[in-house]
Amino acid sequence: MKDKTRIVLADDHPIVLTGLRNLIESESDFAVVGEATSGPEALKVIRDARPDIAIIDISMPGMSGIVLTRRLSEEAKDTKILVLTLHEDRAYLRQALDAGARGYVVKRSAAANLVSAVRSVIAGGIYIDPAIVNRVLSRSPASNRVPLPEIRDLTDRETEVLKLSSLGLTNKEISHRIGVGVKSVETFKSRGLAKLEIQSRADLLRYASQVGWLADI
Amino acid sequence: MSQGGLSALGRYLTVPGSGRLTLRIRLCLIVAAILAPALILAGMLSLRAISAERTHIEEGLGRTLRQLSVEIDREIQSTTALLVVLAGSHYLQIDDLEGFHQYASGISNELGIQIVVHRPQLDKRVISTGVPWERTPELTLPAVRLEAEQQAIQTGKTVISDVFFGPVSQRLLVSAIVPVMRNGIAEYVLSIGIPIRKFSEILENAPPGEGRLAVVLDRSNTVVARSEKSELFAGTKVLSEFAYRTSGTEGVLDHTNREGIPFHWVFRRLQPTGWLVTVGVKTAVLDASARTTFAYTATAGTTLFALAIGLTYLLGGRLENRFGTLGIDRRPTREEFALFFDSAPNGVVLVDHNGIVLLTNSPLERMFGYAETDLLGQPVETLIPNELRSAHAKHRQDFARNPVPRPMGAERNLLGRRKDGSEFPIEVGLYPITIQTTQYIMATVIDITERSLAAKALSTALTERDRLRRHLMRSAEDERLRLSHELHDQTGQTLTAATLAAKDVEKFLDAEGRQRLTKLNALLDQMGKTLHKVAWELRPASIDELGLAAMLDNYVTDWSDQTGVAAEFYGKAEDIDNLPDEVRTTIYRVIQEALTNIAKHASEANQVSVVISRAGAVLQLTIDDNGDGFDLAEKLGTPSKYGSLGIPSMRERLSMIGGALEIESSEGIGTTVFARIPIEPEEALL
Repeated sequence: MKDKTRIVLADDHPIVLTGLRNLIESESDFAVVGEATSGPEALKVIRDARPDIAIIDISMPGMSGIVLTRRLSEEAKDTKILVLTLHEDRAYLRQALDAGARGYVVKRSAAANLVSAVRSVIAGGIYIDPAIVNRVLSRSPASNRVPLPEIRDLTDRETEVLKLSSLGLTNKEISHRIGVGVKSVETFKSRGLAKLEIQSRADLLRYASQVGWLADI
Repeated sequence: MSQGGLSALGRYLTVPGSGRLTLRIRLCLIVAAILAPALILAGMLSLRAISAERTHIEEGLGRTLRQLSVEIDREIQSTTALLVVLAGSHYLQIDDLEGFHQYASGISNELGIQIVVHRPQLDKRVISTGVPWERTPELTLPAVRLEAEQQAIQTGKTVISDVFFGPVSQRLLVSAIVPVMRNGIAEYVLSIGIPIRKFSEILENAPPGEGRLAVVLDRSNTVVARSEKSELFAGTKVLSEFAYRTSGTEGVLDHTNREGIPFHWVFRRLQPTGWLVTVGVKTAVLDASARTTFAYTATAGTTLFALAIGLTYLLGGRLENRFGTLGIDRRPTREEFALFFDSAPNGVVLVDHNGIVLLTNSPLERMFGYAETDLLGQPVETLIPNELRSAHAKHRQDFARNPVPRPMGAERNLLGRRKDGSEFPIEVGLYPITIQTTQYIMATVIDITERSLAAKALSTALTERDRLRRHLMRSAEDERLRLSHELHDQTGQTLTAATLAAKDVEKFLDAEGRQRLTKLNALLDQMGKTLHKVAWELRPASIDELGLAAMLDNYVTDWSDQTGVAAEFYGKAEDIDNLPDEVRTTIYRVIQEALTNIAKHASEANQVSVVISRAGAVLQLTIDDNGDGFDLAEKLGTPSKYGSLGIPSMRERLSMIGGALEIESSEGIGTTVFARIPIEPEEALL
């Protein structure tokens, strides 16, 4: 018993829980030391049992798996967390990893991958389900942008147009507001964006919030 | 008259708008139509009279001419006859010249003429009755006289000379010359010098009349006699052009005389002398009667025409008032006006500057439940609910200060008060009227009870329709959410359990069984994927579980991966995560629609931004692409294209939560979708 890996399972669906237990216990060196069907219950069971690894669902009554993971990262640092979920959105994955999970497996592939996932995590690695891992890698996060340039060489008109544009005014509204034609507004805008080396509105908004244009609202 | 002038005249003559002529103008036209031909006929008759008058004068000239010709002929013939008698005198036959002189002197003294005889063959002595026998001169005869003498000798006949200056008588003369032949030789030449005074006397004794002039010319166009100023002109040549133009035997011409006065001449050449007798009348005199007649006729005609038209116009005006067509010929009578006023579809009330009612029409009286004349002299506020009266008086004074026609109480619901105190909605138009310096206000009043009820019913129906539509949409969303949950949480979990159970079975199976189980697993995996996709499309559970900002960030990234178009989301979780469910769903659906549009229509786009920002109580959702853009009007012009862009559904969803949609597209720059959603500040802060 000593050598066996101690595991706690948390899932609000009893039949899934049963299936998982069967899967885990079919491995001779794994032992299920506790089960829970809600977030708060899982927190209590894990704190008491101090397992090597906890396999938890995200969608659970009382407390979501993400919140549970965050709390366990603080309160039960020895227990490694592996998230097992139906969600294949990478937003969940990021949140789970941010919260401190060491593994992420989608339920669709649990039968095939869960055991090896557990072994990877126990061994000190991070396991991400192959079903979604490629989507994570293809991503170039927006937060990694180069620092935005300072205001430079913008004319008053360009500044005004970009500022109003960043506030969400249409070209027509800007044209009325500053008293020039719509075509001129388009020109001022594209010239200003070119000078700032900005290609998208999202970047413009980032820039606007950085230089404080949005604070005027 | 210029084009503008013509059209102004047309406007004056016709009834504005109808293009019809008034009765008075039509009468004038008829009179003109009758009178004009009559006057033209009169003019033609007087023209004929004029030409008759002229003929008459010309005939008079002809008569004078003939008469003068006869008299001059007679004078010459009598002289010639005398010459012939003298030529047959026996004194000459016996060459007793002294006897002849004595004989001839008796005759010449009697007749006031001069008789001359000489012998061209023998000597130069000339025997003239003008000098005594003892002193008969030897002299050279003037060339004109000699020329005539030569002619007489050659022809052997009587010849009348041109005018010449008599050397003996020291006067202007013409000579009648006859040769006395003896043995074929002219032994003597006998002549009688006739002072041209004789011819002047003929003309003077038979004057041609006022403004007329008679002239006698010899063959060399020298004036022999003239009816006026004969002494001055006699012996002088006439103008060469006049001479040229009178070279025929008789005729008519117009030519100025030497005093520069235009004359109309008739002339006749006498035989055998070859002299010209001409009688002229001043062209002015000839034309005077024509001018006078024409002036009289024209003046009389014009005056008559003007008088007739003027009288017709004046009488026509009176006729119009009695018989003319209303509106075209005349203004309505009092009775007609009152009838019209009372038949107007709207109520009309006229008040003075103090707001005292001066005039009402029947519709207004009926509308407010008053009897005829009840309201006269009352303040117009009588027609207004008690609580509004003082305010109305103030408004009325404001209007008096700035009187321009306008609807009363624009954008407010006006109420009228009936005599029985009941109130009803009205619409009022105000029209200032100033007569001389007195100001009046005319108000038209329409009872809009029916219209307000209809408007209210319509508004209720529209509200109800919107409520139902919103309810429908919300139900659909709820249903999607429920289905999504069901599929995801229940079916999904069960499927998970199934795959786990299959795994569990694996260890009891031989190689053959495991192989088949792998196939089963593949099927279960496929089912799981489908399930996930369907649930997600129905409604991403992550909206609720992760918050809208995170969900959208994820959604935009996924979209970018699928389409290969760089796309970014910018939005702050604190701005949007706590919005009401309906608002969050709307935001998600609008973005979904917009991104679908870009994928479908803006294939050139390679940069897409989805931005949500908050400006006070307004949430601003902006989706832009840098595709080719499109001409909005063209794209939105046809319903099918409009529909294909999903714009109506976006707009619909937004209007459900009080939001608005704006689309800007510019060719070559791209398309931007602006959605604005009002949010309660508390909602955002919750």
